[in-house]
Amino acid sequence: MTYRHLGRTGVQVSPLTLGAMNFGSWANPDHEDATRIIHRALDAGINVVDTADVYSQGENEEIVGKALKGRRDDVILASKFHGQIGSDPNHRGNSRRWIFTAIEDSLRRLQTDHLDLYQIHRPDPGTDFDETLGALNDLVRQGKIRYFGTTTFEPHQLVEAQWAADRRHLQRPVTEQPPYSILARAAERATLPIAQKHGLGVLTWSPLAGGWLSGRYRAGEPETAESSRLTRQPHRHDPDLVANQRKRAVAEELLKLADDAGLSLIHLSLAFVLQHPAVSTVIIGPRTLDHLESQLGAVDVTLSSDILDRIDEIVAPGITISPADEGYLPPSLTDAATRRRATNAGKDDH
Amino acid sequence: MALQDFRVLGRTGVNVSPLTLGTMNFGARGKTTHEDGIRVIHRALDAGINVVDTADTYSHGESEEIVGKALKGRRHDVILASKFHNAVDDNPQHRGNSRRWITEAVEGSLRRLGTDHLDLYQVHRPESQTEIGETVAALDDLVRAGKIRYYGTSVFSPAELVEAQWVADARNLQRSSSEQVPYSLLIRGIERETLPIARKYGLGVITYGPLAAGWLTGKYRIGAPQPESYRAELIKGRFDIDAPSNAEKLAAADALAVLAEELGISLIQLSLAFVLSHPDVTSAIVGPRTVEHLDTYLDVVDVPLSADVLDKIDEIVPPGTVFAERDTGKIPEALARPELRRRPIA
Repeated sequence: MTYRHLGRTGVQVSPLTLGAMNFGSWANPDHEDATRIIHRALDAGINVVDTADVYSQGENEEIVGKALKGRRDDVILASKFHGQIGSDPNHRGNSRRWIFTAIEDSLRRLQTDHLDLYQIHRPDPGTDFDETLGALNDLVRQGKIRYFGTTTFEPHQLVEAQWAADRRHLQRPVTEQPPYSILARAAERATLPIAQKHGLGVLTWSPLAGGWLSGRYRAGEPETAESSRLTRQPHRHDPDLVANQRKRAVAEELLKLADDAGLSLIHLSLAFVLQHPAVSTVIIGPRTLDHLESQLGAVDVTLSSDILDRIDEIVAPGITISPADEGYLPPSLTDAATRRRATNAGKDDH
Repeated sequence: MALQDFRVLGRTGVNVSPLTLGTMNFGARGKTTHEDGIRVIHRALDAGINVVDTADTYSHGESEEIVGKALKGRRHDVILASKFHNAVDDNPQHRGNSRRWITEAVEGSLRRLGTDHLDLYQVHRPESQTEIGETVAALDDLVRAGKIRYYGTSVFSPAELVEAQWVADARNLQRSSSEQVPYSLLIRGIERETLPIARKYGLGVITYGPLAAGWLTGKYRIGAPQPESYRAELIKGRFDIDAPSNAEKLAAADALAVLAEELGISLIQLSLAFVLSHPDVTSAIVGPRTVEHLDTYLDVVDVPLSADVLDKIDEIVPPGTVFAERDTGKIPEALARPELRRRPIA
């Protein structure tokens, strides 16, 4: 594999990152199988492993920790905080209080004394970003993390975070982790150009759009997806939703395009993401060894301008077919009260 | 709410009416004569509108000249806003966001408007080649020279809005005070980031296109004949009601017209009332070509919308929706140019 700089850090990363989300009770509960997959990925040249505290509520980090015993120093190890752990209302979010607890839990489960990259799993509009920024800088100085980054931030929040760090003379976030695939191209609009301008490394998630680009879905065929995703993320997978029917139809067109090019849809889809100049590394999330093997070869695929043009015709640049694939919707869209003047509730109104 | 229920423009000390008179249709482009334009302006001011918005490029400067004539003797009653950025002629230096052009452009606008200062000078569009700090510094100097009181932006991306604020802060310069953007029942993209940014940073928001370039006049209905529009000749495809690419927008316009009928108000009233109901919108630009057009807008500010109606609107057009890329006022460069999205092949 040809390694790439992670943003403007001095760290070299493989074009594929092993996303560990599918190991543990959420998807594949077999720890030994997971260890085999992780080892195979490292042996194939992948040097980044991405996990999060919430994946299978900590079990995922434990699996990664076991698998990395004796190989820790060969790996750029990335985890995240923010998601709800247990039910305590303070065991979540982006506060200094929670970050200082969450990092210790992650380090213990991962059996290491430091993370290479610690990522804010989502924005937390209720927490002043300066608080989060200050806490993460302290973790860097304590030696518990080397770098920190963001995940699925709104474009303007990325810019704000860079300026806030600059004005306070603090270490800045060095990465962003957005969703990006042929079916979810919103990142092209602002996130990826911002990453280039500000020198952010980019780790993309969901290159196969949660399985829609795996080649297993075909129009008119009954749903065969493993039920774990369908129950955990129904909006992304429910075949009765119009947006998902559209995704299925588009996937069918892309399958034909891949066939004509002599590629698997998986290779086409991964190569598409790899070819964006702002993308540092593409997170793949295999559940089985076969999944992994079907994806590794994508690093050797280069798509011609003609194929990229065809993809642009099938799904226009910047378009995400289903809002559920954006990974985050801000309160300005989900909370109607933020969009309405207080005076609109009068009884005599129309 | 009435026209005289002024709102503060961002965190400036300036009070503005909920409607702003937009003058893009005055002059050759919109086929409104000088006499008619002046009548519309006087009627608007008499009714209580206190903001007039123009730009150097509207009808190649003619719009500014009409506004200048109309404001003779009334200049101090008006918050006068203009813009620079678009090409005013074939000279490649006579456009853009450089210090060189801004310093020259403002003199042209002041001369045509017959005044010694603008209240608000707006960057008509962002320009990625010019460093934003250059533009901000040039505008700050115009403030110090007394030629403008405030400056603002127009159709900046959310990231560019934030960047402009921090650049001004970092260099101790006056910051941008306002953003002008398209916003309507059919073009809701700014709800996601732009309006929350405006609230957080204290930007005034002046919206344009409350009728979505005519789509919300009530003439765009399923099964109706193609409405006539002078703009349809200027922008092909945008107004074609038979085009598949416009089908979703047409269905939404139709459903909104039905909703307005159920409420016993016009679609124009529903549309303007919707824009004014957003807490982060300061003033909505209306761009009438005649006094009659203007009068249809003036009583709208007295139409409040209930939560039920706003809920129904959200069902017809979900928050944040944009039906067509071109409706946003600027297609992001990274979408328009494939080479920006593709790694060079080794």
